[in-house]
Amino acid sequence: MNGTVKESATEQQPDAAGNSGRRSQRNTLAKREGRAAYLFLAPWFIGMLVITIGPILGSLYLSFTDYSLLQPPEWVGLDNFRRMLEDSRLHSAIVVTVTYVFVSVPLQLALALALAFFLDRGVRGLAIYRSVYYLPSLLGSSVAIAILWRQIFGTEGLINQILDVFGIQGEGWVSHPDYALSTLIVLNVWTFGSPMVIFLAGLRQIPTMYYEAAEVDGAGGWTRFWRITIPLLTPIIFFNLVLQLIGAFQTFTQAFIVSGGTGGPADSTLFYTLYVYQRGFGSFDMGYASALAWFLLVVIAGFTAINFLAAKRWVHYGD
Amino acid sequence: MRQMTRRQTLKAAAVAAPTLGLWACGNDDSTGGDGGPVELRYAFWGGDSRAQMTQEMIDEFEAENADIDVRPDYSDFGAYWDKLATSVASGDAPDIITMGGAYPSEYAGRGSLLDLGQVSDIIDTDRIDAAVLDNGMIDGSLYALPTGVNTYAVVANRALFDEAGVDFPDDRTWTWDDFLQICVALSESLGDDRFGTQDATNHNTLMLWARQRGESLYTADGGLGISAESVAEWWELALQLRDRGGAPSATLTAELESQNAPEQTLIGTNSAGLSLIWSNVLDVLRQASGEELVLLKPPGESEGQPGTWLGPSMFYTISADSDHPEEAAELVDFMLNDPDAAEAFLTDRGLPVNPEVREEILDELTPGQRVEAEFLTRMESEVGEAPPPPPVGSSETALIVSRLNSEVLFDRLTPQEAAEQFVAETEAALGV
Amino acid sequence: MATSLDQLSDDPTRTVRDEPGGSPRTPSRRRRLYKHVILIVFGFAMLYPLLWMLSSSIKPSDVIFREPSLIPSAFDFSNYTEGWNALARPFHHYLFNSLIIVVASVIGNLLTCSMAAYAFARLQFRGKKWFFAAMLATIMLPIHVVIVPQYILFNELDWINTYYPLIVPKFLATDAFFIFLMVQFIRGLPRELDDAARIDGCGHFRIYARVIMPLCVPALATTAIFTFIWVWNDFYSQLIFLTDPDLYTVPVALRTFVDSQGESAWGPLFAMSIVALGPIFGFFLAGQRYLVRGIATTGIK
Repeated sequence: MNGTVKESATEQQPDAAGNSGRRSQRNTLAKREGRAAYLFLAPWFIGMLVITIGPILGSLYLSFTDYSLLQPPEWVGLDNFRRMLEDSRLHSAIVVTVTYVFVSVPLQLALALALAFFLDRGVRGLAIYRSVYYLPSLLGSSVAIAILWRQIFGTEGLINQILDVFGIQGEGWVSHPDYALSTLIVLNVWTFGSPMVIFLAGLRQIPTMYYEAAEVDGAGGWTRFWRITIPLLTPIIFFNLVLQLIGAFQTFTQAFIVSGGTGGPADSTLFYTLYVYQRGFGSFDMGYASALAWFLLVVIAGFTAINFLAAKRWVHYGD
Repeated sequence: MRQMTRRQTLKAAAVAAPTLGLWACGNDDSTGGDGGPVELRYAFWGGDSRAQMTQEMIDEFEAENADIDVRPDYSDFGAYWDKLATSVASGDAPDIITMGGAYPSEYAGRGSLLDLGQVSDIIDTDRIDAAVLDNGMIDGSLYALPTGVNTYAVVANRALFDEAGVDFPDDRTWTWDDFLQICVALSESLGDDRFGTQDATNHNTLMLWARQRGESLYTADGGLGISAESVAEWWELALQLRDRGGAPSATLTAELESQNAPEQTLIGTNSAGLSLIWSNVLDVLRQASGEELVLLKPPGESEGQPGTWLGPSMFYTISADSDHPEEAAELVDFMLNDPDAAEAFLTDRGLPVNPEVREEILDELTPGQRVEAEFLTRMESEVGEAPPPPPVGSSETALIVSRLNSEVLFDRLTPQEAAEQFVAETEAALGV
Repeated sequence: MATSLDQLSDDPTRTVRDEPGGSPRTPSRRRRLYKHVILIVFGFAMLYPLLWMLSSSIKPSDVIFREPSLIPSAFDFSNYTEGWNALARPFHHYLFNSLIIVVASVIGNLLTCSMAAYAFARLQFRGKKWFFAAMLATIMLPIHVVIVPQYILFNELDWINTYYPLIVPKFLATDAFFIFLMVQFIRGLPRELDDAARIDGCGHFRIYARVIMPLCVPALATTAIFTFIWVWNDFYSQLIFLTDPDLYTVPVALRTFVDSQGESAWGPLFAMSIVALGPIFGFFLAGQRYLVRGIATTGIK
């Protein structure tokens, strides 16, 4: 399509086309497009330069220092990164976080996708379900979450009351080291509303002309689903995958609230970012916390890059 | 790097500000201003009831000092420390800072607090007991003023004892073994998810435990004072309490620990007969439980050395960066010594440390507060020597204890292993 | 059949996404019933915590933890009146503060994130890939390690204790989440549409404003809804950057009902938490009609 032609125009060098007049015309077009792009990006550039990049580079600098927050930072080179190798709490935090990411992200996305298909209808009743399912995501980081969670997964919570009916003596799920992480995974899956809304918007965006054409060709519902809906939704599936992954690696709030900031019991919900927070603000060790954070950034960036490389095989764009 | 960002930010302001002029309704009247009132920022933690008492105090203070404008800056306890650390780190510290626990040392030890010796002519500390004042001495200088006194004690629910038919203990003689027996007896006869006590493991209990054994949690030179043996012995007791039913299971303990507002504790929900607490929580616990809870001297005080101490409930400190240290000192003096301030605070910041002021408010206390005041008066003659102030790095101790306690209660570490790990980790945090 | 998909999907038994094989009447009706039963049971699980919060908001404070059952033994609506007036200012003061920040943030994000997204999705320029990567990298650092440098920056600008640190960044497209979101949506649109507009002589700005944006309504609605909810619930930065209690927003004000050291007003806390859910839920309800087919008109046929 046109997009590819233009791309080659900006990237290919003279030898190809014979008509130099057309080429220069193309070049000015490309130049004009570049200028337009920078104009569209102007707010972003300013924001990046002024608001975003400074603090980010600041934290990069701090990761090479010993910084107690209250005294000026002192350069210590790679010491912080060396410390990470022998930090056993860090290693358990990594295990907790990785487990969480690889269990909760697929679960949450699958549920969000399934319900989005289910609820993507203009029927009046379904609007109620959509809203009900989205409600938990509205609660955000409300202090009430911790109390609510105990009402469900606590020793005297809803789950155990139900188990009791069947004569089973339940555990205090939320505060047992073997189960606490699972309840946080449930908590995350429970707030599938956000990716669901994005899927809904994605479904809404699929041009109906494709379905009409398919219908004329006599394609059945199942075929249309696999041949039209899924392929055209791949950019959105990809988006949710990438961002849920980034978000899951940085999970903080829910663990913080439910465990009262400790990551307990016995570090079973000590997420990576919670540990970063504890080092930085709890132990006045912001230099080390920054180093931890930058290591996390590299890991997340790695996973994101892999995602983008893999996306070339399965994500289909309209352009 | 700072300079570069400054230049960029100015550019940003130029671009962004006009766009937003309509929306921003910031409160930007900064201090400056020739002849205008001096503006002080007073940071404290707590809920809105404390904020309203504080506002009352501020109104009284401003009525007497027309040239000083005090602005409260408060948030809940958890968020308070993050906000404080961030603003101090950025050179935007509040002028008057409320502190608690080990934080005065953390901040003073790193040069963030004003040596109050510099304003000793403004803050009158003559009537405050020297032992109480010592709590705010760090490296030989006074950095923090205790707002009120407090002591670590046992709270008891007599109604549950009666219901269970268990004899109420005599707190002049009871031992830790008595405590264990009583808790087990209470749990047994109360049944139905009610217990003798909530698990009492925390750094305060360890402090008490250590002192009764002639040790101390921290040494005067900033090291760890408690031995691994003592810590292990405590955890042996905690395990016995758990195993014999005197205290709840490990999971319930962990659950209670993550949600520890007074209303959510076992004693606050009438589900336990005893609990180790700071005395100033008594009144709130009474309201939460609806019972006439009483305070007892902790067990073991007659066995070895007295382990209890009069601790400060909070501290007033002044930022080393304050532009107006003298005015800030005036406010601190007002809060410590002025009867009007005491009228506004009552015992909200602990029972006032100035005895004259304390007299003034005794009539206005609730029954619970009066019980606390009487208990404190009794304890004044019975407590041990004041412990040295917690050193730099000791704000982490609470977290270490709590984590290792879970390991012990869930049988992942033996008391001995946990005790050794406690010593190693705490010493690392203290930088010993 | 000549009906458009919109009309088709109005009938839940006959949407394109129904399973193949057609549908004789009775089984389809029974299936519909099953579906609703599942949806309702599932919905209750989703709602249980909220119902608990609602029930706690009408219990007297002192029994909330002593009697944790879902059905209150006594009704006490005074939590609402008490909560509304408990703080230094009436609660609508904080609602209004939050609203200012939220509305400005929504406008800022819609405007600038969509512009940046258009450039990334449709235009060719030097360094595009690197800029895009840099943009994504900005959301990979935990807030806790950048908050201090940020505070220093805003303090230099004299922006602490104003709403600038909360609003200005939104007008500078700092929410990479929404840029990436809209990039994905725009890239999903057929190129032919832009080309047709270009042949008609439209410049980039007109293509952006007249062709792409109208087709991105679902993405814009998503952006608006999420910005509204996330900013409304954003406790941390509002807490850090605001020090004057008069400027406090809803999440910050809600925290002042509880005091881990002293007495907490749990009943009023739950009551006002319910009140605080009102605006975001209302906004979601209003916005969700743009997310689904059938009610609002479809963008592209």
